[in-house]
Amino acid sequence: MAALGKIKGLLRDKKGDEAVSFLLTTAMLVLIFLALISSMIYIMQYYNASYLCRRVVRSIEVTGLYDETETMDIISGMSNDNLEDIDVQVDAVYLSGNKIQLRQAFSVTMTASYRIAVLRFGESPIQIVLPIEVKVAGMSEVYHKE
Amino acid sequence: METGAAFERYYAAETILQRSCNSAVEANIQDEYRADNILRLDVRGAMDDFNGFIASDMPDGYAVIITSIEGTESPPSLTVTGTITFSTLFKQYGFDDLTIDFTLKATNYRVI
Repeated sequence: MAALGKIKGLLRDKKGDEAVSFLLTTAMLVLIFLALISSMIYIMQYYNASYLCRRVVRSIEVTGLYDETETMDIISGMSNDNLEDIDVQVDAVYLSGNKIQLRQAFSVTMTASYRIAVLRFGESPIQIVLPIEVKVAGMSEVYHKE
Repeated sequence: METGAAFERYYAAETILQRSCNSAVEANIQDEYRADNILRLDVRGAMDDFNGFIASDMPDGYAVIITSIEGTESPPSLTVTGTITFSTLFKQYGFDDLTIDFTLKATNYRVI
């Protein structure tokens, strides 16, 4: 009974109330700040993926050819380790083989994923996998004789 | 973020300008000379095509001013100078639109 009374007394006691409130507010602000930084990193990764996709489109435009090996070389040479499961789909009307005729429009869709580690407990972090999808249109600049 | 968006808008416009110049040269190489390994450009046709490609491909929101356009028949070459203007998010706060000078050059070579 004495212990129960002591707890009730502590609950009624307002000493240190401001300090606890300050600590909780600070913790919330730190969490919000960390969430904002994570969001900014995700946006940066999106810009990286967008730039990568535009470089692939430009390569196809100036050669007038879709070469899968060359495309993957560009991606592996420029992408960082943070982008995972990168996949490229090219939607085009081909003149013959992999040739795209002058002024023929095509589009490149790049999909990838980016992991944000929310909490880390030893070797098993809690992660969120965020998808990234970029679609860029292009147009062949090469005339292929029919 | 707005700086990144402005850069992307500029890159998109620059790509369309360069593509239009390259395509105009590529589309106007006079075919009847190819068999003799001679490359000749229909300069008038290339200039007309360039203006047509810019008109059809450049999205709304860009103002393109061509200050000079010159071409040579042999070697096939087209050079265009001008300015491109587009607005940013900061326009609503009284900032001027972005105006950037450009020079485009496309030359067609025979790869032996």
